[in-house]
Amino acid sequence: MRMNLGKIGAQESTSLVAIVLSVTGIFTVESAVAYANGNSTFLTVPASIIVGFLVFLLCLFAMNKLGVATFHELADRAVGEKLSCVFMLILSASLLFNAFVLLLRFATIIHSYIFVESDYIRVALWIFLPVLSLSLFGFETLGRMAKIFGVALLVLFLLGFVSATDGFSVHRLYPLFGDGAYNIAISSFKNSYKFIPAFIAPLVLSKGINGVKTVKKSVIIGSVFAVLLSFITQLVIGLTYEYTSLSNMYFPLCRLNMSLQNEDYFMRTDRIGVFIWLVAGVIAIAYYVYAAGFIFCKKTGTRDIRPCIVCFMIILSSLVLAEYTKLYAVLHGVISIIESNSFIVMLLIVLTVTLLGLLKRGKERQKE
Amino acid sequence: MKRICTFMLIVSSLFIFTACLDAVQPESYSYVFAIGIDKGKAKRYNYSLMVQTVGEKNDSSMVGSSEIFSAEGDTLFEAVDIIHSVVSGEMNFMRTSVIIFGSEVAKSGGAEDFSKVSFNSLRMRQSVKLLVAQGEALDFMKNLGSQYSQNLTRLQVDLVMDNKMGILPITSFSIMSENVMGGRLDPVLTLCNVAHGAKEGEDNAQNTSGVLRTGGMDSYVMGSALFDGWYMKGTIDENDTMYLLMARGQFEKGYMTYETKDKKIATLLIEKNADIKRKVDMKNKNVNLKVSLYCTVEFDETSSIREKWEENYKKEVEEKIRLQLERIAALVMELNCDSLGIGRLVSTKFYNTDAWEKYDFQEHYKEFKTNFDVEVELKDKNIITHMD
Repeated sequence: MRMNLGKIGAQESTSLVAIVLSVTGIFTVESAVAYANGNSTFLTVPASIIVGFLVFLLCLFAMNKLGVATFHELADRAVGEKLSCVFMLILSASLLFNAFVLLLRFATIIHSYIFVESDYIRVALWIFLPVLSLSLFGFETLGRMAKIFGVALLVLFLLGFVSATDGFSVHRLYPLFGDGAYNIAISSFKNSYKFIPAFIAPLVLSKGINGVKTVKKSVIIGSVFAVLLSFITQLVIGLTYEYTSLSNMYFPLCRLNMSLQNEDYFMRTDRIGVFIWLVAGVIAIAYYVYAAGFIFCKKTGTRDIRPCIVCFMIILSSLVLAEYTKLYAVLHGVISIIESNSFIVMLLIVLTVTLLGLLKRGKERQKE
Repeated sequence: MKRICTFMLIVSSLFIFTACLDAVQPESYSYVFAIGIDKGKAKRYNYSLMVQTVGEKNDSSMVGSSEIFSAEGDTLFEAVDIIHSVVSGEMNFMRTSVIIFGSEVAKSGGAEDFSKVSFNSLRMRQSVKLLVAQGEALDFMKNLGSQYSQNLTRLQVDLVMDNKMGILPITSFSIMSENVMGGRLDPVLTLCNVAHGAKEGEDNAQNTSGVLRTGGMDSYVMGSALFDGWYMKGTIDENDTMYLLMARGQFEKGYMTYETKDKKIATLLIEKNADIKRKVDMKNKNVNLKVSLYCTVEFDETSSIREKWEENYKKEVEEKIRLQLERIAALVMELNCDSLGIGRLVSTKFYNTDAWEKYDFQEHYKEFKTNFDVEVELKDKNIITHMD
């Protein structure tokens, strides 16, 4: 078997979880939708991560009760192998969807803000190659990369915000609860579809993270970082631009220094920041692709993960390149459908697996 | 470990190599420092571009010097197309630092037309400063320096330094867009002028803001242009600008000439003591602003103003400033310009966007009444002031 799983420790897995959740929280916010009716992303994004974390805790609880080491073992015991195969393949597809959305965002950001005169295809391929290499190298490489870059990325990220403080103004956050408390709550739950697969993936890969206890510790610490960083990022964006301006910006993080009145050395740090974010983005996308490949191979009995990863990358690349073709409208229509229904599907899968698993455990104990 | 190092080396080398493709030398660019926009004769607008002049390498007199090219066009791209064919080098807008609207263009909403220009495709920064010229922008640009060598350096220095001192307002394109789209604050742009024939002894000569002078550039920045959305509604001089900035909370330092009831004249140097405090009472539609200032009495022959400050003069000075602030507030309200940012205050009273947008602040703006409370502390009151 060549699954390239390897073994990583608590520090590596914490860094990996923190990077993946933060990147997902910050870079998948669709401005036209998120800021259409006020700005409350500094509440909804952290809340969505917390909802995902609660789902993780539920899965972990069920796994501990049944004494299983991984999430797919839990699914096998709870719903049987056939239905478990369907559920896990849906999970794999949702991980690939996250990877696709991030790939699309980064390719568009770099093409629109940095390499404006280059072809979109060249820019996209420039990102695909590191992602493909990293996912082929495997989980241990991913973890160690995350540990090497983790702290540096966090510091550089926050320094970028410090340079923009002159342009902050509290009045831009008002009205404070943008879309209203009810819509904020609904939005938080609906958008957690991005984070639920990210939280379940470590439970699938737990044998590479020295067991469920290490996974729990890493995810808790990683989630705290991700919640704080997402909150700070969205707050900084909200303090720099009003919601009326934000809804017209594809990626406001790249324009933080644009509102500064006095030009200084930090005028270009937005553009430099893109390359820092790209490193984090490559790690997150490679993680999603690897995890999707791992689940697919486990369920289909494929013994070598590498052809699977290559196939997934070819599919994702084709879809990303379709962004600049006549298929744009179809592509975004499908994305909208997936985004509006994914939360229900994810919740159904998780609840079915965990509750049935716990019920079965209860019956087994009664028989004993 | 070896694999990680190899991978990192490959990734980092990818960052380096891309810049070597289709490289363009810096000397091949013609950098556009400023853009002026006036009403056109044949087309909608006349665009004037101040393009950097490339001189001898060690000639410091050429620093900041430039040449003006202008062409008419319905859009900036049309004008750039014409100018591009007569300029040596590839035109580059990455260093454009100011855009100057002529007064007619500003009054007719030309700023809104300009806002539709794609800054991304021109690689122009959205932090470009916006100015309004009394008269024509081309006239202002031509008088920035000598006849054949305009120099933008002085203007750029003035804008930055005077804004830091709270003498001039500065508005960039991104701030103006935000203000207009947000509807909670109307923009205030820097006003620029040309003092034609401002030479001593000339009859009926125009002068610099009412003051005859000799020497220096004819073009200068002083005063503010008040906008209601994208449309300029009026202008104020540098003295009123000081009070406007005080009411906006952007004042840092200034001066006022004070004549007391007993005919003593003094120059008071005033500076900000604390940030302006604002409160809005939605029920009675009152906006209360508290302005705290320090004051230094600079010229006072007998030092009597300093000695009797608390008993006699403090209240007079506070009242004088308060009246000026109220005059400015009434002026901007009459022009329907929310230059004081009352919209920003009112928006903090709403907890969701629907309620705020239904309220339609523009409809209710004139119902609000501003009340100023001014406090002036004498900065040097504890210092012995007798010089003899």
